[in-house]
Amino acid sequence: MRRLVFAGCILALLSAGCAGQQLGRRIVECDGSSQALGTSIILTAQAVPGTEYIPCVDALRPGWQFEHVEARSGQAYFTLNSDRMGLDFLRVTLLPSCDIGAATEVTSDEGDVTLSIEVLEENDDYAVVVIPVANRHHNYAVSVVAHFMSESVNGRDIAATLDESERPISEKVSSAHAAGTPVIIIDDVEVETETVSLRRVGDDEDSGLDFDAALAEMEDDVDDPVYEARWFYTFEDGCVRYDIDAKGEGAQTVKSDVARAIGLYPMEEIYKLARQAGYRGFE
Amino acid sequence: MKIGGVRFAGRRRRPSGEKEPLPREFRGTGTFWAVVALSGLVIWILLFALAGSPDWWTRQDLKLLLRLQDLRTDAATALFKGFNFLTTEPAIRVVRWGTILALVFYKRWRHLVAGMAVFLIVDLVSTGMAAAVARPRPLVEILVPWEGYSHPSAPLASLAATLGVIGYSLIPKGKWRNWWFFGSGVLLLIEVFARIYLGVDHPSDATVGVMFSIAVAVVVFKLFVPDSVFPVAYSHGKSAHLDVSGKRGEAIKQAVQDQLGLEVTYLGYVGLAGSAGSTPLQMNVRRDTDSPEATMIFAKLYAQSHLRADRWYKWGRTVVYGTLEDEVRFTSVRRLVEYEDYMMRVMRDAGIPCALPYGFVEITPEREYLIVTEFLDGAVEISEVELTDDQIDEGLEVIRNLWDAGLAHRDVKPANIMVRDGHVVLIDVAFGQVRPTPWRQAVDLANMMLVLALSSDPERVYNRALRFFSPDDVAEAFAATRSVSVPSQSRSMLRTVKKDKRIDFVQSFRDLAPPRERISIQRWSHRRIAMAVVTILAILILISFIIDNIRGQGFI
Repeated sequence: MRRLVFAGCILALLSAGCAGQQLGRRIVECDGSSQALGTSIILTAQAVPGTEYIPCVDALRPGWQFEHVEARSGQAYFTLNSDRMGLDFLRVTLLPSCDIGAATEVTSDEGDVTLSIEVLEENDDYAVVVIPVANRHHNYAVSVVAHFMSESVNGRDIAATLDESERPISEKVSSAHAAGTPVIIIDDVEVETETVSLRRVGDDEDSGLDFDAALAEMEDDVDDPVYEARWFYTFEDGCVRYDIDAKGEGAQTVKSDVARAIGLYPMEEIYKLARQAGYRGFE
Repeated sequence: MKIGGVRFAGRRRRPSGEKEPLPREFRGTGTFWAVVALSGLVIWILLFALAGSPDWWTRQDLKLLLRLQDLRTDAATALFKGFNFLTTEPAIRVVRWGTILALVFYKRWRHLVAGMAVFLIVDLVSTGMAAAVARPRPLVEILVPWEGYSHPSAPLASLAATLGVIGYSLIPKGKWRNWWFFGSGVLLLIEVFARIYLGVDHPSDATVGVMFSIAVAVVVFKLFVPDSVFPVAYSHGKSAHLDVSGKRGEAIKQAVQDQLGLEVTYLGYVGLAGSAGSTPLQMNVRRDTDSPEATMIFAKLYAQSHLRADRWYKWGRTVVYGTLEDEVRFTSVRRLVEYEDYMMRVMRDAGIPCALPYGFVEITPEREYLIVTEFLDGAVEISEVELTDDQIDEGLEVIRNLWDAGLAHRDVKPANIMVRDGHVVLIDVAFGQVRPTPWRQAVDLANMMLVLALSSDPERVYNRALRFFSPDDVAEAFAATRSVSVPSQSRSMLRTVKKDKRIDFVQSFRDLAPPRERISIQRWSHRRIAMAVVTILAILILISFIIDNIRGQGFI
């Protein structure tokens, strides 16, 4: 009997574990295919009674994964994982109200709902300054800028700019380096050999580099793209906060991806579904 | 038939199908709650695992919830909010830690492990079930804070498990425990109603949570810490000693009557202080069926707890000192008792003066056995006797005979050497061994000489020992002696002598014997290393578990 009970306990724990693929991972869908009243939707709504909207998932990007809904009275949240940006790169929390702090109001993608954003850290492109030594190098320098603008390093687009100011070369280099930006010098040799000279921050000049070699040299200096921000969607009797902490490949487009992936589900719709299902008392 | 003056008559073979003297306790309430648990599981699967069924179930729950919502009043709401406090995490955590500390204080380790198992199973399964069912909170106005999905009710499950663990582990079986469970039942009913009234649980959430927890607590305690084997008592005594009153007492008398043909007229404890590995008993048995006169016999009751204690003891020895010798554990209580019975007979055949064995009886198959021997009436522990030369010789001769017969006692200490009618008698041969290592035989000699010296003096014992052993034998014995090889009772007495008289007996014997290099007892093996690693890991996990739970991150 003891072995039977022991086996039963193990079986119960294993069945809970085996079913784990779906345990608690019921996605709060903005537009469920069956239009059924999902349990995670109700639980989320119950966390903040009277809220006008609840956060929901429209369409996850490839490589993204919905983690689970955690709800308790006063707040509900779910998180998303990404195969490139890591675990919990996005947490979406429904709250009765939000302290938006230093966030700035921007144009909302959710109709009447106000959106405020506070960017904590963002580096989506990688700046490079191209300095022609003399006017005769102008044409080649422009082509170098165009070439670099079409490239990216470590997932970050290159923002190449031409510096043709009247300042001495050394001053231009110092100024760029002070901003943490590498410099490409174009002189006669570079024009003749169709190469570039690269001066990285805190490093000696590398001359005679072709474009691929120059990009390879830059890779060591380029950090992963980062986007860390707080978004606040505020509405009557509620607020939805996005905590975005994206780093790595994908972070440069995370703003638009998140905006497309996550939406707001009007409670009116949910009440309508509840009425259709015959549940009284939910409103 | 008479053996040693005791008449054996009226033995009876238990017919096939007749229950053993003391059947396993898992009956009555245990079976009931096991059935409740299994039925609950089946019903639960039918109701929540089939498509559409959760919706039906929710509608039934909502009918009651909406009716109660209409009946809410301010006073009732305030009252039930007060009751609901008992299901909150801080309240349950305080009660659980209180229970754990009480169990630690009373050194009720088995109950502690069982209680923790109940907490773990209930919390893990209820969390897993909640995630699997993913049922929202009731669709009514909820008046108190909540967390997570609603089915089953995790707070009620935790409270029920906690009350169950307290009842089974801290309250002695009987009136008080009955009252406790009655009160707990009433309290749980109130709590269930309160949470339904407050709209935080569906009726089915609350019911399933409570029933499941109670079933787990009952099944775990009835199966793994049955009262008949591990009674909750607050009287003094070693935890290894079993309660021999009530059902077990009757079962012992019946078993002795049926299996040995002895009518027991008295059953009681004897010499509890000197025994930790079994429950020693004195029984008076009728000499003849038509005679009122009784003869005393001695018995030792062995149960699973003793077997486990033996296993842990051997595990500890292996980790701390390495495998000194045969540290293989017994696989069942039957094997343990069979071995002791065998050792007594082998020793007697070898001429070792020890108690006359009468055999052993089965109380509960594979779980409890009683080994029965003659009672050494009038015998006193050797440490209480001023020894004569003849008695010293007898003690040394015992070891000589053990050596010659290829045996070792392995637990030579004052409590196991008695003097009856002026003669030395060896008892407690359960740890004896046939064909022991030479090291163990040497240790037996050293321990016997130390015991004899405690009631005389080392020089006298050494000189008498040379009649039976060579000086090199004695030198080897004390070269093999380490603190670990001396039984704790002897060690304690030697410490007292060293403190009072400033004499180190072990050193005295070493000085008397020819010089000999010390024999190392630390043996390293892959098994010992693996066991040490496992032990360290277990300790680290336990520490992290305690820290996590103190910080409120665990399941307590």
